[in-house]
Amino acid sequence: MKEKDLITAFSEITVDESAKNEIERKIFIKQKEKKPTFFKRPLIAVVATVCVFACSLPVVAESVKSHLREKFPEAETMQENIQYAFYEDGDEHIKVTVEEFLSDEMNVLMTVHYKALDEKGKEWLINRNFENDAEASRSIGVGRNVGFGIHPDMQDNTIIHGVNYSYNTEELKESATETDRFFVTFYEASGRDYDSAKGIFSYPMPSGTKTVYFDTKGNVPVSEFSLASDKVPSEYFTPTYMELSDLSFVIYAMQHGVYETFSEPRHYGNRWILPDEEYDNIRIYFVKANGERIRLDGWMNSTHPDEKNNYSDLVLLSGRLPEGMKAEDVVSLEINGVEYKLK
Amino acid sequence: MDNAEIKRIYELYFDTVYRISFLYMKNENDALDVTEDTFCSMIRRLPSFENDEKAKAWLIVTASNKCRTLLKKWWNKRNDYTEAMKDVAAEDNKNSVLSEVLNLSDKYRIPTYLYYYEGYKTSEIGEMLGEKTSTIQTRLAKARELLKLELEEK
Repeated sequence: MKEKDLITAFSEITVDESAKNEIERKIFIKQKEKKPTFFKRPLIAVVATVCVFACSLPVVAESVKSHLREKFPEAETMQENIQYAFYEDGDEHIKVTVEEFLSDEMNVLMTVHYKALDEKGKEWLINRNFENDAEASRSIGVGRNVGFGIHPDMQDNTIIHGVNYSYNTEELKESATETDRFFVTFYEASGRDYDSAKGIFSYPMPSGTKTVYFDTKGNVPVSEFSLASDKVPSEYFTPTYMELSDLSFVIYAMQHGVYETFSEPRHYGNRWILPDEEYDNIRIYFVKANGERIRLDGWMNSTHPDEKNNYSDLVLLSGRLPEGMKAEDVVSLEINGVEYKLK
Repeated sequence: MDNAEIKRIYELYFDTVYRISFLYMKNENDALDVTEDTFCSMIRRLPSFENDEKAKAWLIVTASNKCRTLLKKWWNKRNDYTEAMKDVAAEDNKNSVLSEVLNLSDKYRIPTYLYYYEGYKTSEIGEMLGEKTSTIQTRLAKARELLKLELEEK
């Protein structure tokens, strides 16, 4: 068999255009039916945001609707944790303000307000294509951002647990006026072991794109729980520890020395990894006081064998809290049928 | 990630996701189900990828994981499908090479596709499939050997 025959054979694996179109139709129907989470809610009125600048900020925080709370329903229960007027910069033409900031070090959510201060600023603001800016940051990659948005700093990456992340920036177009434009930007990391918890915020100005580092240590409380049971949920690991906030969770474990290892060329050298079968079969739930069990989904991280602390050499699972849940709702954790009471 | 971006990614990588799903599931219906489920996962999580290659890798890994889960669940059905696919392939000489590839086990078939068709390096395939680079290299060598031997016997 020649290589070109092989390639031809693979290229013959196709479906009718109608099947492709049908799937496209179905996934976009499902998207519309999806409960509101990120960026899916109706946007709030301009009046509310104009008030932000007409009143003193601490008072406004209590009295007007918040872009952050509108766009991220989970932020509604964390009003006291939101930092207002977190950062401000500008020149004689444009003022940019990070109006709201919420972080538990894994999830960072921000709203950004651009305001034109004069005619020149107005012209710049009206014509600026921020979508291209956000796209630029995406394609350039973390550490060399020249676009628009908040990203985790991974440049000096000496982490133990490999941290994955996703990020996004989106304009609140319905709130825009001739002199004001508003954006939400966020990132979601799979753990807290990244570069001293710094976030990089890049934002365009008339003079060029500027970049600042934000301390993302967080203003959302994170509770820590030891996980103990006389039963073991897997022959491969023992759960040990959990970090839990109103935004996210991280479940750690100790591996039993029977992992496969593989070489990850970019940063970390050899790393432990669970066998596929184990990944596929793990079942992890949060259990509420009424007995309701909520299946958890999220990231599973491979792990560096040089981990030195005494509770973890594996991030078993990490992610956002299930929609509608708060940290205080969780009374226990269930992993493969073994229950861990949170104390 | 807005609708336009989702549609762009969908157009760009539908065939890739379908092909990887088909190579695991060996039948069109399950492959289409996995393809749909994979893109739905993308919409649910709304990840922002650093670039298109990252998006492609994410889709391949997600589809692969979904296929592996399904195969365990429906192991017996899968065997039936395999037999059915052999019959289809036997009827059409054009599919003989594909039939040979489908006769390989997963551990040879998927790296073969990713290496020869998608052009990934062995280290990248290892990362996606959670295997050591050396394991992938060994499997590719074995796949080459198997494909050659099986075709020569005809």
